[in-house]
Amino acid sequence: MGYKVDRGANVLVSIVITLLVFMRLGHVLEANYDGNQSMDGFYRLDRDSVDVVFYGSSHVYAGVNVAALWDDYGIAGYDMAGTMQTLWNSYYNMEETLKYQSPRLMVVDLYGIGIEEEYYGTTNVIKNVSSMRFSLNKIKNVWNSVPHEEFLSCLLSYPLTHDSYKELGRGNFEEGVNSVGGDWYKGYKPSYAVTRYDTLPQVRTDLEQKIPAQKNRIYLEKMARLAREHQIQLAFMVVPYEGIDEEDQMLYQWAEEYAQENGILFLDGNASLEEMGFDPAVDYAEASHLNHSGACKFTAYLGEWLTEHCDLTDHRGDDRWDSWQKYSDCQTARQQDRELAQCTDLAAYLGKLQEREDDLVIVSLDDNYKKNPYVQLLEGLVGTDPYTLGSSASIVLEDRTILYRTPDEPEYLWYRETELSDIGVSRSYGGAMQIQVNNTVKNDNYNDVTILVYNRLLDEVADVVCFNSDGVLIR
Amino acid sequence: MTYTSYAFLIFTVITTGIYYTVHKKRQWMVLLLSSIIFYICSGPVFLIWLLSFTFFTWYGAGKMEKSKAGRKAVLAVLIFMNIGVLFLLKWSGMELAFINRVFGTGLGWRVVLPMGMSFFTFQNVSYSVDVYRGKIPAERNFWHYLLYASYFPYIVSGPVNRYEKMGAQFCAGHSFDRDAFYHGMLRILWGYMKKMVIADRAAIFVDEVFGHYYMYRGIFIVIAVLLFSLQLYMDFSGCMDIVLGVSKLFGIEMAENFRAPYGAVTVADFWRRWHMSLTSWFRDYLYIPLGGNRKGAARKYLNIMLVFLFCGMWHGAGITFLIWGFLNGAYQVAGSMTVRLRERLCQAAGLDGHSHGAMLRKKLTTAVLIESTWLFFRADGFKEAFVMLRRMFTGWNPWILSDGTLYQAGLDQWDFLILLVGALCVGRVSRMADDKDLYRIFCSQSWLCQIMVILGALVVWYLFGIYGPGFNPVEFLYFNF
Repeated sequence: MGYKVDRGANVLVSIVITLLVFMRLGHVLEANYDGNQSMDGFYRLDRDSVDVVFYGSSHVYAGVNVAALWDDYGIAGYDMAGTMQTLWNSYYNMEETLKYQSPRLMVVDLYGIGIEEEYYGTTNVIKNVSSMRFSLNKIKNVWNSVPHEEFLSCLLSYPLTHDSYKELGRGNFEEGVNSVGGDWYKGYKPSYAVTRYDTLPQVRTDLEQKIPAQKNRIYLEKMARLAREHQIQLAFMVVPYEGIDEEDQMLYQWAEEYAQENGILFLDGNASLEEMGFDPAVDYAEASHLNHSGACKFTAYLGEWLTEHCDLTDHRGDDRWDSWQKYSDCQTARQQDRELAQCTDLAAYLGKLQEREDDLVIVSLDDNYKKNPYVQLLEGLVGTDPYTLGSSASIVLEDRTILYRTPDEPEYLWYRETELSDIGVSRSYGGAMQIQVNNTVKNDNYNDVTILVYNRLLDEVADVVCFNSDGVLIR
Repeated sequence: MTYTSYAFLIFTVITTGIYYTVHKKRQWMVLLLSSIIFYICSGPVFLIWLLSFTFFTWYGAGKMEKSKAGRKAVLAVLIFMNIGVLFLLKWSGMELAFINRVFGTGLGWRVVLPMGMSFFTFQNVSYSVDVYRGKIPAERNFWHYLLYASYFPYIVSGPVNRYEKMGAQFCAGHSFDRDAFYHGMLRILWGYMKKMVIADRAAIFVDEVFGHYYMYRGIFIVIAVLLFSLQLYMDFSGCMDIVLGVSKLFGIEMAENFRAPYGAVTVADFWRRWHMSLTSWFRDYLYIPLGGNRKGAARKYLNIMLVFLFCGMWHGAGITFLIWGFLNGAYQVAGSMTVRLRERLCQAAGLDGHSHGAMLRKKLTTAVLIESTWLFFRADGFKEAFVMLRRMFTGWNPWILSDGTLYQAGLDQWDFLILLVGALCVGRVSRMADDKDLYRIFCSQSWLCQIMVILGALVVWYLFGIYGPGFNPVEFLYFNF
């Protein structure tokens, strides 16, 4: 009996070890597909903390700036979106939401209403579904999303993810690394690309309606029923996009009537572009997506619409919703970093640096710096006459206070460990001064001055610039 | 239903479960029913072929045993029926092309060979001949014989088994043997590793270069041929591991089909290590009946050539397969003709023919000769094969090994590293298996050590296996024969 128990215990332990190893492996290899990031971020939310959840394709995660919703209205929103998320995937995401959250409003983007195939994009399904926790809901999601012969592969997801061992990065092992806001990620992925268009797309209201494919109709009905059962307000929306055509508009007109008949709110963003102040030369990333500028305009309009039609609480100032404030701060910091990185005038650049907070700034002055007349401009930043700093020097500033100044010695070392980076200033005997971030040297000793700006909130390098005697910023 | 599909795994699990649930006397029925279902999955209409060939062979063998008169004629009919129809169907494309050319007709039909026909016909022939020779008694029960012909683990790609080895095993009841079960599972896992991690990975490069031969020269072609030899061995031996492993689950033992073939010192030695069930079939049912080596050297050489030409024809309908068979035969004949001359040369030069250096030289030479035949075996046609052969030598390009061009044919550095490490591991294990009972050695380790090894293998398969969206599952190569 003792021998049998031993053997049985061995087998059981072996099975458990195997399952644990594969669960961990699968999680690591799932990589950083946007659908997975969205799902992972959702599971990190505090229970019953979200007010509005937005579902849909990349139109949603590029077009609905939940950080702006928070800043302007104190609305706790979440973009539960993924590339080519179909209406049926949206429905199952809604089911998943209701296991952990009690939103006041669920908003579904209708871009997927144009899909006519029974199954659409197996690869995207896996990317959007693999992070969903294993449950009956996930099984139903996959069963209805892929041809049945691919069901097992997609449910287990390893047939797609296993090959990603060639592309493993830090984000595969540490959650939140690859998304703005890290642990506070709320689903918004801004695009900063700009495609210029001459005019805004024309939206016609005189078109005939087009009835969507049966599968889409079935799932819209399921959504309506789900919302009714849980007494949650449902809304359909269309995030604006430049490439909208007449067929799309015909489908949206059908959807609008359907929404009216079923007590569902409806917002077609494409019908209010002028009201939003859209500029076709500036606000589109490309034909399918808004960029950050367009997203902010749409979100401003959306926020106003939400507060008009729904009773949503302003949570600003409430510590329980602290993660939304942090996420908003991260988005703001990212935007500021972008503006800094686009600045090409030295004086303006230094001016911006002096206005920023949460930075670690390292100013590195090479041997020839004293001949550079523009070095004088650094005085406001470093708080002292830079020409008195020795033959070559580095200054580390934190919140505009000097943290460290390199001594006039052949060897020195200063370093700081953050959660994601190792930052160091060093010089070894006979060697050159080096500024390093995670093994990468950021100064090249060919330029008189190097400025490294490290954003402590985002825990990443915001910008690295150099300038010489001509005062031109070099990146 | 390929061996690497979920369907096959589920099918095997269910069959095994039922097998050990029924009474031992009924276990053969479970295998027979499963084999029929497996065969039907390939196409219900093909079942008629299997049943017909099997019935006539069984009936004919029974007749031969009962009556001395006309036994030779019956045997001839059975052989002609099995082999003749096989080659008629296999070479139908070429036959049709010949008819159209000669008679100016425009006939065109596509013949799909019933699954496993190459293997069950050979098994039918071996059974018929063995009964004729009195080596084995004829099987009285048609259903027992049908199981031998249709047994699902081996019907698709062999090995070619003899009735005397299999018949009794099918009918004997088998109690659940945990040890054999565990051994079978390990064997199946090993087969999946070889197939999905190594063979299917090598296939990416091979298919690219052979499929676009006009774009590749020199070392590309050399590497493609080398990888094809690796692919073929891993694919086929991996398949055999799965077949033998699945059989072990049922308590049924089959002979090994490979014995470290790339460690052979001559081409003849290679063929004593590669696809041993097929080569022994050719030896017993073709080479020896033709006279073997008992009728003088000239006849022996002729017999070798005939056997290998036949072998080439069995593998495929195309001139390249004939060339492949011809080359294998010619190398053996040349080797046999010059063996004394080479020994005298070594003696004269004071070289020890059995030293490590000599053995290494022989193995490398054999490998080069065998590789040269694989080019013809794999090429899509006669013209393609010769173009590739020419381009191999006229476009020498060693720089592709360092400037990154090598990685533009479907495999990157990771893939080549995995292939190299995989091939070395498999090679090492194969050599060890030659003279050691690896299973016993493995089982003698602690359970923790065993689970770590198994877990490691599963992780390797999970991470590096070729499967999933974007990959077409590469059929086992010997399915095609």
